Amino acid sequence: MDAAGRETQVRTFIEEVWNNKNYQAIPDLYADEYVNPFGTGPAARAEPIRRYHQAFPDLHIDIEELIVAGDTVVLRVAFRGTDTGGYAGRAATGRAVDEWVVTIMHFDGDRVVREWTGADKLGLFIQLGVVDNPWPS
Amino acid sequence: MDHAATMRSIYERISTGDIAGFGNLVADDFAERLGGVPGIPPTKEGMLEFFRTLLTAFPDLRLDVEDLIASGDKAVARVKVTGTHKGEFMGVPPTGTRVDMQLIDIDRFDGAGLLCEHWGVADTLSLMQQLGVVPAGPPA
Repeated sequence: MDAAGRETQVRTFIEEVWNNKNYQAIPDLYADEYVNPFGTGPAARAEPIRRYHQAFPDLHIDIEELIVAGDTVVLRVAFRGTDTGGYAGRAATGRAVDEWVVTIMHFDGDRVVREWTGADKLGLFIQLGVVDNPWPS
Repeated sequence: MDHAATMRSIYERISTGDIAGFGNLVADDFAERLGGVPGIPPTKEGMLEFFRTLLTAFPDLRLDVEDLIASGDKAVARVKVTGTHKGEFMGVPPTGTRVDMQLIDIDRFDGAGLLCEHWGVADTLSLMQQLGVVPAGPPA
């Protein structure tokens, strides 16, 4: 698949699955052999997304940067939402959050088989008020 | 220009404590765009000073590249950071703890092949937990 095709595929996934909550579109991007801590394949990919949607029902993701290099896509996004559902098993705080996330996706053919994600979890927990800001002011 | 090689060289120079050599690979108008440390100016001098401080806090600091991708004027790396906390870091007295952190860097290089912009995400939650600044485990 060419670079434009990969970009469209990833943008469609973000819009359909993350922003429109259409989980049926997950297999259009993730391979059956994809693995994460929840298991294998598209169903495993759905689980952390479902948890985010439960915590932040108004979640919206904006793509800030997308780089295609051969079989790899690097995606930098901003997550914005309101914690009305309770994140990570905690009571809802009602706070608005803004988390930035970078993902490196490795494709085999036209499906993602491996990915790594870096996220500003410390910033997220500071915004939710569950961790004191540890940085010197 | 081989930006992937330059990016790799940056991590090697930092890991050997060669901050001046690292600075030679950075444009004077460098700008930190995302993921900078609070209180550190988002400039070349701010970044170099931060790494000097970091090497004082973690003298055996190592940045090992685990994945590196280049495209156009950008390069992206996934890096494993290790080091022993032997000096004050961001107000935290030395704990002697061996820390281990993952980060992803996105670097842009200018026409001269120098690093000119940076976006980064580091697992600072895990770092702060390892240093005992933030309680371990999922935040309660």
